[in-house]
Amino acid sequence: VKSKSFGFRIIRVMVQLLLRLSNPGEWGLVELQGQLETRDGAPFDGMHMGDLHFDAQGTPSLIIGHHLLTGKVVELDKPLAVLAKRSSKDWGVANNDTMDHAGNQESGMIEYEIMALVRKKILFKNRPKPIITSTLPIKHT
Amino acid sequence: MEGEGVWGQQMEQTEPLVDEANRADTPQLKEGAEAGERKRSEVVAAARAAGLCVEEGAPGTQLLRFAHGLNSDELRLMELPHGVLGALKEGERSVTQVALRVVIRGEQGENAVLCTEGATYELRTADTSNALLLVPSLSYSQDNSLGEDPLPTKGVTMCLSNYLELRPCRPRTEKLRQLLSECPYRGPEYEEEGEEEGEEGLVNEGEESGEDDKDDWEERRRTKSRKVKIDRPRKYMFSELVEVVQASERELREALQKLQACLISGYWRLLEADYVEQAVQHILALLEEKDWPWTRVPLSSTSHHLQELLPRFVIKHCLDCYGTKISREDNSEADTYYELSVEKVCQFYAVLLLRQAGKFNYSEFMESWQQSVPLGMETDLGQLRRLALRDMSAMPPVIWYFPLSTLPQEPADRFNCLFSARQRWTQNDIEPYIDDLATPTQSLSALLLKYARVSTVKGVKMYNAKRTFK
Repeated sequence: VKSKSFGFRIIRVMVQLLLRLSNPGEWGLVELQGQLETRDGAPFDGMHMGDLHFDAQGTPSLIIGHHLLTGKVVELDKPLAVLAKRSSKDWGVANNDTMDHAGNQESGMIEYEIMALVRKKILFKNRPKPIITSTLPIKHT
Repeated sequence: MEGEGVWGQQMEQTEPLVDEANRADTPQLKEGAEAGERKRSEVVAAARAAGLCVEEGAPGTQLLRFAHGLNSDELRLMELPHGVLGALKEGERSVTQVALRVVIRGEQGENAVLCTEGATYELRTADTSNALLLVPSLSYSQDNSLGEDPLPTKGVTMCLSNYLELRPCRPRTEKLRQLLSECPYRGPEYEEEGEEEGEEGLVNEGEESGEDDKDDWEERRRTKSRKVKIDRPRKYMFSELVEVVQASERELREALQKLQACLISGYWRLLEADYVEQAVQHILALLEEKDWPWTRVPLSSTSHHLQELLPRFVIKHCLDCYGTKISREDNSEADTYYELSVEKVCQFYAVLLLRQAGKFNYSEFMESWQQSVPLGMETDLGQLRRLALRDMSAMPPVIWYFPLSTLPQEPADRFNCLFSARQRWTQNDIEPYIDDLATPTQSLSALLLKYARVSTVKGVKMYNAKRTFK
């Protein structure tokens, strides 16, 4: 906010974000206690994370490295929205709403789109159990 | 497969099992465990080694992998309390109606708020010590699509440890009074050329004019094309107020009504206190002169007689603020009639007297007050709630002007003010000065518990300051 000459007052304009909801899908969520880390801080991208198994009763188990985590499926009492930033240009054709654009340009509204909703999650909060491997033949390169 | 076995490269280092047990708390991802299809047989073997009963077909199995470009999208998670999702759907259905938008409004130095059409929520970041993994195509149970070769792989697109929380809060409308006080209306002679057509769509008129107002403002917004960057005292239209006040549209309208703001030529204005005072006095003097009953004040006749002094819309505004329109089913009357409110007119005179100086002799005040009000109206101490404080233990007892409207909105500051004015308060006395602070998440008693100390004096519960703030 630039400061004008001493005769004038300044009011900071608020930042405004408009939330849009357009046919959001439902996404899944897995919650783990603690944080994940790689051995020497290598980036995660493209890396295999783990094997997720459901038994016949629907109990989830997750094998990460050589740890076993047991969890449960939980319904969220307040759904989560996944927000993604969008510029007003992205809404162009789909909207056909010229007044909207005129309005937005005037006030400089940034738009966030709700891409998806999360209504359930798989929660793993039990201590990971190390998997003893001595009985299993080990593969070498 | 090279190094692609379940135990991957870690096993090459032949670490003793003891070490593994020590690291039991931190599952670690295998280095270099890149893509490459993992055979179903390996996955099943690993699961069985872990003690899981997994069939050869692995119907309940999916592989989780971190997507390329993890977290690059800068997605955020936001918790939706009941009502917000509905508001979002409603807003999307009627995309052209500005009032139904769901907007996040942020201001420097304050938490941002989310505003729906009728409510305001404070936005906070909730940090968790957990890892939240977003897996768009996650299955939550055994699935028909599973059990194939290769096993289905689901991508993890985000790994977050926080999310946004929404807590219902009071709308931040304090700023409204400040903004509208920049250019109060003081009479037609002080206005710019051609700007003085008064709107008859006043706040108290209710819903009928409300709708028209909204469309009108959209019109003005488009044609006038004003930027909301403000750098000097000015007048504000509703659409502009919406952008600078952290409140929902409905709450904004309610706040405007409470402030007794007036719509004049498309701008929301406060009428200067002195100006209103004079206007009301003119009206009341006219009533007395003409011997018109205050239960039936004729709008047009009054305007006619006072036309040299006051624009018609000002008279109507005063009548709306100090009385109620008498509606007749048959619409047979030629004029519109108002019944003045005893409470509001008595309050008017009380403020007129009290505003003049500091502390008044209580009994003298009560006498003058009753004498000043129109014939037939009865003054009552109850009318002074939120307007004045008394000290009956002083010699002589005194009373002074102490209006709620001038007190700070933040609870801590409010209580500070109250205890500075008077050390000890009874529940009865303090309630009118704090009940506007209550929110769905913080009740009156919670506020008192937090900001005041209770003591019992002569069997009466009293509140005083817990500690000095600031």
